Formats: sequence, structure tokens, C-alpha cells
Amino acid sequence: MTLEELTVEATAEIEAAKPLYKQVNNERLEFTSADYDQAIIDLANSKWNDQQFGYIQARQEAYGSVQDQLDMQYWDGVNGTTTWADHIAQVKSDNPKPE
Amino acid sequence: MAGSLIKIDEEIVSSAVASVSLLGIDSTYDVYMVKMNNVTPSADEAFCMRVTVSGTPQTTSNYDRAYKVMRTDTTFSNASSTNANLGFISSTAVLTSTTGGLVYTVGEAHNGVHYFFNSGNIEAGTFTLYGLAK
Repeated sequence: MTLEELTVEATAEIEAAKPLYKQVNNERLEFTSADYDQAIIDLANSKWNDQQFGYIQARQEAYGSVQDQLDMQYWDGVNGTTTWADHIAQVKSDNPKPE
Repeated sequence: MAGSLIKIDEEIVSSAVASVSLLGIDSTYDVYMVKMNNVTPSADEAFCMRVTVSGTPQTTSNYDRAYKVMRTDTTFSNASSTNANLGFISSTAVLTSTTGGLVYTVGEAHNGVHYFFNSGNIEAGTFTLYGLAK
């Protein structure tokens, strides 16, 4: 999706979430019009970042620790299996890089 | 007494809000500290901050950061960015320990800090701003 399309999606979500509040000086105040506009920009940017770069963090989390990967490689060497390579390929496949 | 922490502002979130501002930073102290306790998001989202000018969060793309993230689920990672329009404090829902720095590269007086999640609300939490007595 383009940033413009994500902005439309973000606008709908912020509209649905209204009213939103902010807390300042121990007062709970409803967002101003400018606050809502900024919330839409922030949410759209967040969606864009997730779309474009979320796969990096998802892959990092799914790869597992270096120790676990080394263990897989050791046993692959002992047993002649491809557990580690299969695991890495699966993580990449499950978390594709956006085109 | 020099070295004492002087409480300047405290916001106790007992009813969900989308953001919290801690105000009262000026030239009285050289060092300020924010303590956050039991901050609870409504969803797994990145936790962010901005500095304020006269209470208004600054949204220009001048936030730079670099830090090391010690994660509880996997090995450590590095995180950095320049010219963002907000500062990330935590960008994962996983429990982490983060060491590093965040700077807003605009020469102007800031009177506070503003906290929020990328989306959703701050369901609960206590935010306290202290100044370190000279």
C-alpha cells in the first residue's frame, strides 16, 4: 500500500477511536483538531514503517539465538541434515521482504 | 540539598489517555530525570516521545537516536535512526533493556516531554519528572 492509502486507513481508525484524550497537568483533555491530525500522521507513518521494515524485526525474533543456530549447525554436521538452512529459509519465507 | 531529586510534575494515568505530557523543565536544573512505573499500553505498540515547546509536542523531523537493545527473547540488537519526527523509546513488545541516547537537534528552549504509543492508549501508569538539585 502507498503512504496515501495507509493515511486513509489511519484516518478511519482514528475516527473510529474518537474521542482520544491527553493528560497534561493532571487534567484529562480531549485531543484538539491539531492533535487528531498529528495522530493520523503518526499512525500512517507507523503503518508505513511496519509495512516496509517490519520484516527485519520479525526475522530477528524468529531466527532465534546465535547459540541455538550454532547448535543446529553442529547437529546438521553430525547427522547430515539441513535443519538450520531449512529454519532460515522458513523464517525468510514467513516474513517476506516487501517488493 | 545538592544531589537531591526534586519532583516537578507527576501524571498518574487512571483513565486511558493517548498521551501524557510532563511539563516544568526550565533552567532551574541542569539535569532532569523521568521515572515511569507500570506503564501499560492498550496494544503491543512502540513507545515514543517528543519534546515540548510551551507544552506543544515538536513534530519536525529532527530526532536522532542510537542505542543497544538487550532483549529477553534473543540476542542483542542495535537500533538507530536520524531525522525522525519522533523519538522511539522502545519499538518492540518484548521485554528489553535499552542503553543509548536520543537527541532533538533543534536549538530552542523545551519545557517538557510528551509520551505516547504508536497507536492505542496508555491504559495506566505513573510518570514522574524530577530535577537534580545543584
